[in-house]
Amino acid sequence: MSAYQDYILAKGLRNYWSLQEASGNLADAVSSRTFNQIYGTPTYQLEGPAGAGDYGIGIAEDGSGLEGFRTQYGWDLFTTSGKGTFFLWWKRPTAGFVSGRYLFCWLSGTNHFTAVCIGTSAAVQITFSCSYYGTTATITTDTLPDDDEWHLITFTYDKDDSGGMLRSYVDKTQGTPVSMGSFVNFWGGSAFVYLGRNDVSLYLRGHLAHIGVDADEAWALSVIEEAYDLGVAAQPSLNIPMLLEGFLTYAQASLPMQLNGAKLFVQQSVGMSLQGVDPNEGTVAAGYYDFNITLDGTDISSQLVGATTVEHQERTSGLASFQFIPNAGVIDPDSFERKTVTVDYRRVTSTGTLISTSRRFTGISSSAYYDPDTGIVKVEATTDLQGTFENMDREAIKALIPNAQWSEHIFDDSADGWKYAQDLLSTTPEDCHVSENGSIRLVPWAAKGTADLELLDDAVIDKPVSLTRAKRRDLLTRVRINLDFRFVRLRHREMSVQLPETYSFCEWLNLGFTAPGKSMVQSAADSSTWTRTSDISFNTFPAPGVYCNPPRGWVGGAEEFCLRASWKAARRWAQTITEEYALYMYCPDLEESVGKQEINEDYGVEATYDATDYEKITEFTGPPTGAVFDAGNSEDWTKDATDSERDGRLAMEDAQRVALARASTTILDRARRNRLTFDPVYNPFITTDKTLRLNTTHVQAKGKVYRLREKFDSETGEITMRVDLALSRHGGTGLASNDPQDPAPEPPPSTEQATARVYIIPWRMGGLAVSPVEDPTWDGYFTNPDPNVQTGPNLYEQKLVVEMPEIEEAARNATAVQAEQFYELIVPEDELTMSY
Amino acid sequence: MSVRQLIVDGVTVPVWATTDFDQQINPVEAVYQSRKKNGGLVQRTLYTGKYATSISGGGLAPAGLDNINTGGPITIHCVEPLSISSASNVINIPSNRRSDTGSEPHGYAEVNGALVSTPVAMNVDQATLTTVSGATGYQVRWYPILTVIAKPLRKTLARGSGHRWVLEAEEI
Repeated sequence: MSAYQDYILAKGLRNYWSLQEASGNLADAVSSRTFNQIYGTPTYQLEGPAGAGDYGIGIAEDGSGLEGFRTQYGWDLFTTSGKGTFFLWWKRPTAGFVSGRYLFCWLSGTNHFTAVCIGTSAAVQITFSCSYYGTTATITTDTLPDDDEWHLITFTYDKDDSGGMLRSYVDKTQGTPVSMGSFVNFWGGSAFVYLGRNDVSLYLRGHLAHIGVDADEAWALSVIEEAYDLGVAAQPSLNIPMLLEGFLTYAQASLPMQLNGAKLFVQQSVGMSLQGVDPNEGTVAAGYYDFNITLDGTDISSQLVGATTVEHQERTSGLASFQFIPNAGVIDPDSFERKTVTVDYRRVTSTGTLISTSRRFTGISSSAYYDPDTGIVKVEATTDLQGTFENMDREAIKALIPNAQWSEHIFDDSADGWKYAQDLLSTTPEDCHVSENGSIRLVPWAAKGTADLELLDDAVIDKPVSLTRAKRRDLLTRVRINLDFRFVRLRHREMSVQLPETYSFCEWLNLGFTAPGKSMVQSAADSSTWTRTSDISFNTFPAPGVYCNPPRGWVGGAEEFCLRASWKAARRWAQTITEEYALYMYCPDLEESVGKQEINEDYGVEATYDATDYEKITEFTGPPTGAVFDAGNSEDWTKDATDSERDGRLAMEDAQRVALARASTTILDRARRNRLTFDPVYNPFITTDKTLRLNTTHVQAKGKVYRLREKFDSETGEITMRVDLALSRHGGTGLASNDPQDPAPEPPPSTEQATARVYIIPWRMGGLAVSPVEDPTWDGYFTNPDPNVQTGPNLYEQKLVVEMPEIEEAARNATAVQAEQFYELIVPEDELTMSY
Repeated sequence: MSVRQLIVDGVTVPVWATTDFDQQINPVEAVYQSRKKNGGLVQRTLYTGKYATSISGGGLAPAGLDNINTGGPITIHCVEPLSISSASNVINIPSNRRSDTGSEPHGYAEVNGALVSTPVAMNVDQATLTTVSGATGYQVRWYPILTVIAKPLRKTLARGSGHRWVLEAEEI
């Protein structure tokens, strides 16, 4: 809602048609009086008084058909207050005034109407006529301005004004009033309300917007003036600081824009800085230029002396230096430091008219030197790439370098912002620097397939072109990444323990030896380092009766003893495993050309886990949750304690990815250390994010700009530029491919010979002729037959010795397993052809 | 017959100090030129259109310029003219020029290789030369007023050679 609408609606309008619709019915914004009868095809136009509405839509009609609107029902124009105001905004038709056209009327029959129409006189006016029961009163405005502007037309009636006066206003000027005499309510009479009329000679002509009726008050001139001023007030201009970078085909261009957002504005002029740089400026034979330097926002260009230099280079701060004569007064060099500095190149005509401008440097002054003898201040400025990163948090830095990777197992977690940024950049083949406009810019190292600019002989100064090749010993063809991943493997081994029924029930009866007590068996089962994981299964004695041969009587009652027992036991322990990864990142094309030149990088990740906690658990009934059975190998259940988010297996794999990215970036970096240096004719299109192709008689090369040095001399007029291109070369056949830099697969566990998983407890029967002398190292159940049936001298002490097996060294000692993976890498071969 | 006289910082140099006289007007500009690899010339101009002048004179009298202001801008009403030739008889000339009697802009018509004097009517900075029948070109000359910063006068006195002086100045 505009200020204008706020103002008029606050008056308490009876009717108000804002005419904001773009199509269809015209709704009354206050009541429900809608112009829903449409004649012909009236045009809805996106315009209106400048300050009047959100859209400023008016109803325009400039056609030749029968255009108009009508309400479905009529109603009284005013109440019986005897006061009222009617207003509308009007703009003449595009084709010019057409007289006698109805803009707005109430019509009830032929005699009863109130109409607003364009007068028939030669001077264009608007007439308000009313007839009520045969009485007619007409008031005509002053002549309307013959222009293409919107005008506010207002009519008021006040019965208390000099006995009843009709007044008219055009904008803020009152016309000749007309005495209405003693009419009280001449507005009455139900009638259809028209915009225009559906008659051949009376249809709508001209543009309408914001029609309203105040049925209670005759507006004073001051109110009408206020309404008019608000209605024509231009919308506040939008100041959107923008900087469009790029170049325009034309030296000067104006861009008509429509701003779309919360509000729709018609054409706006928006303050913008357009940098239109002609990429072919370097081929212009003779031209005029200027350069502009600001220090702390103040233009000091007219005070410059000597040379101004600007330098930008990949991954370093940009530098600028200039000299100027300071204003008279006390000179404090400190006051020139830590101030913003901008350098702009301007292409101008011979008379100084600006053609295009190009920002070359945005930074801060780092130091200022004053020479009192010459009265000259020399300032050095920097884009302070390092300082910028040092003052940023890691989230912001990572957002600036989204393709980079980082791992605390590869880099230092306590590094400052600048080191963090450098670590990130070491994993991605991208250049990061502060652009000429002062923003951080990320540009891939790889030269573009099509150069941004090709420089022929007519765009390059006749100075030596030099090629500095990367030192052979600096080239890197292969990086071996040694990454050890140490973690704890939780192991769980199960065994079946059996005291077999070596002696049968009948042999027991006949030999009369003491059978093992069940409690003895249980005590032995539960007192070893192995955990019993099942109930003990015992044999059952038969019911009382006669058994065996020769027959023996059996009275039963030996439930406390057993001839056979079995159970399951398990043992848990932790074993330290080290996976030793050897990852090779290599470029076969480079190795073909220069042989293998390799460096090693060593990293280690240790998963956090306290193994002693695991081994202290003595109550369990099965393998740990998540354990996997190592079938065909150790036959144990194993579970690797590598779930730690910070240093578990996933973190280790991330570390592999980072190490691989770092290795590939290092190889790419070394391979692109070839520098081609030449002097193009000064061309502001050239910046450090560009790929250039040099195409001269003896040299053709394409590469990304690595370094750019510019010099302007205000005394000699010298303006020069020196470019260093980075050229990536491998010198090989070019058949390499890029392997995905995925982590190496987990190596299989070391080979183990599975040990026996069944422990048979032997019987040791003494007192028989065959019974040997007892060996103190024996395990088993020791017993002797009844003395009456003993046949040998060697008797054993009755006991049960259960010796569960120890875990073998191969399963217990720290173990290392190896994995090896090769990753092929493409090194670009930038164009470089030299001839004589 | 009056002789056009040099005026420096409002001081008219006596005729007897300029019995021999030499004025050089040289352009001052910041223009960078270089050859390109195709042999073409590239030129970039930072500014042009300024002048430096070196005036030397001698005679039986000194120049009387020892008190000119060398710490700030002064004017030099030059004796050496600048000129523009054109096929048109309407030629625009700079506004900073002498208009004292005898030093107004004057014009010539080139007729059959000879320069024939022709009147000049000035309208602000536009010189309209009276056309001459058979003319193939026109030339207007004017005497510039340079606003300069001058160096202190250099003087010598040699018996037999009289007073000699040299004034060097550059347009601001």
